[in-house]
Amino acid sequence: MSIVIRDLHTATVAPSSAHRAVAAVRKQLWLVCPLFLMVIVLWAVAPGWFAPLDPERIDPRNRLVSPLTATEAGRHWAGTDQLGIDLFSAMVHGARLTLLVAVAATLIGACIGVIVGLLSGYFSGWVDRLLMRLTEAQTAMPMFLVAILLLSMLGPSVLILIIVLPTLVWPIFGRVVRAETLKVRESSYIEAAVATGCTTRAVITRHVLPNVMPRILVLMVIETGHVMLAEAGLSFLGVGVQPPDTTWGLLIADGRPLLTVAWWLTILPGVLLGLTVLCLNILSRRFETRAGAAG
Amino acid sequence: MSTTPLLQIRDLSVAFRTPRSVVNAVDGLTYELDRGEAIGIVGESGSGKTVAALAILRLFGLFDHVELSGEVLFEGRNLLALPAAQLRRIRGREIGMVFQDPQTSLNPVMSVGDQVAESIVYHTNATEKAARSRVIELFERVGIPDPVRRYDDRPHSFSGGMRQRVMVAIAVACQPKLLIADEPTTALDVTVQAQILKLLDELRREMGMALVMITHDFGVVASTCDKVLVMYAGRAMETCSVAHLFERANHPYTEGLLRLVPRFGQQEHHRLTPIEGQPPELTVAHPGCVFAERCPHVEERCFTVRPDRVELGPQHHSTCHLAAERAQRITVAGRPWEAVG
Repeated sequence: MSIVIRDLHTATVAPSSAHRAVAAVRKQLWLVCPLFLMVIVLWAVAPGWFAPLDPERIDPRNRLVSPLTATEAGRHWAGTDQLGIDLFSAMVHGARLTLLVAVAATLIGACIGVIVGLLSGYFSGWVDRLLMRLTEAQTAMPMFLVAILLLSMLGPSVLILIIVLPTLVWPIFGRVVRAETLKVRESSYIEAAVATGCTTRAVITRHVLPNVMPRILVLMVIETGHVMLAEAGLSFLGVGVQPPDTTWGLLIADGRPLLTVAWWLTILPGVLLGLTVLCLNILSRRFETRAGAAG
Repeated sequence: MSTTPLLQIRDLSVAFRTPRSVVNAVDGLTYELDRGEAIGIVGESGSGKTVAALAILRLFGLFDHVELSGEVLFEGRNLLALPAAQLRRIRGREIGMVFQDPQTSLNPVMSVGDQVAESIVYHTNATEKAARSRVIELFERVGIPDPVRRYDDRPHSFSGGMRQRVMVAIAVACQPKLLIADEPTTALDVTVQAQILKLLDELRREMGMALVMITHDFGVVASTCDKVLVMYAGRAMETCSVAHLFERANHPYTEGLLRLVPRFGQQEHHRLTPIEGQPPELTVAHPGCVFAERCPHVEERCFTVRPDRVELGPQHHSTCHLAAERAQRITVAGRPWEAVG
């Protein structure tokens, strides 16, 4: 009995070096996220370096080859589709447009939202009431449906996608920036800036905006993930990106009819998209706690 | 040198309108300040001293429901009627301001040097480079060690006292004619307080600035100011030169406050006598004297008739019905509490 108690004692007070190593690794585990995202960005920048095969190379003899199978063209890490196109190469090449659309749409949404939020928060009164009603009206509109309508009327195009997707995110930026601005505006350094003769414009751009910036950056990271999912949804429904351009959402859509015979065509691009969004979320959460601790 | 005072405040009233009531934060304030002169505005919390100072530069939010009346004449121009663009040219250029809390009065994400340079660039059209060297000179003058290296540091790496020195540098960057200091030492510890007060006093003399010092500390007033304005519930009770404050203080409220200043040489068991009661509600109208309810010498007319500002001598005014007779009695009999101590 006494032996058991002593063992327990040593186990809780002095954890073994293996325990400590595990704890240390778990603490740094989030570092996987920026690494993963870096790889995705590199895919987008230079797909030719990472894709083993040409994503437009049709190979009728090796159609619907399951993942990890080796053929005379090389090893198909993620299998091939019904035309014998290497799925891994297609996913690498799809990263560019997927990221481009998501980042561009988020940036545009952020710009609109930040301007609305700053004006609304700084001026209050009727400016605030007008802009907030506008934001609410935008939120109330089922923009996903409007996007489908617009894209099916005008024909699918990447440009319209980049114009329509920001409407999903700017109200979020607007509301968060407004709330932060309301807080910052009451600081005495804003009063001090006014007392030194700053114009309203200088106060907003030089003193309010930089203090709201950390919050905006965090939100941009997480919203990029959301926009990516929305784009995938639109492409899946056939009103987003059209072939021969490709995004991960489009790959998922293409694989759907073959789900029973070739699961990898849907699952693998889906997992890739999911992991990317997950990494963006974890990273933004990480930034948020750091920004909170610093501010 | 012209004979008109630098700053003339005439019958200044500031009221904040809320949906349910009107708060008369400042009511009928009048005082004058000459070039290079220093006035201390003394009063308890909520007596309107800060609001009176903010009103000089109209430093109220765009959508605060503030009603200003009266006149703030700065070199003959009424600042209350000045268009916003012209007022901006005065803020920071002709009138500098030091705020109460140096912890929150500096932008946390901007280097301290840039915050001082901002005002110089804006008001003098100096180049960034010229502004930078001017800022380094200023930092040296206000006593920030190693100014060249400290220029690019952010406020969080400065102590409270050092931040207040930065605030002073911002306020005097354009050599203003008037410096408003709103309780500049309240948030600092005692040794630093003395340093900051000394610095303000030196700079004032060097640059020939006039100073409005807001405080609730008679000690600060005595060491840095030429005259004192005592405020209570938004109204001026008494103005007096600092040199004559202790022997000639006329208003019962000033007298009550002075009784509360502990002094060396007092008897061991001497008790400080507090003023009984609470400050009045500012949302209701006071037809008489605002101090009437707490005044030990109150008469019936004090509740119904608002006292006038009585001139008792050069730079000495008291807003009390009894001012004249009290002045007489005080010159004959001396201060009532001095017999006790």
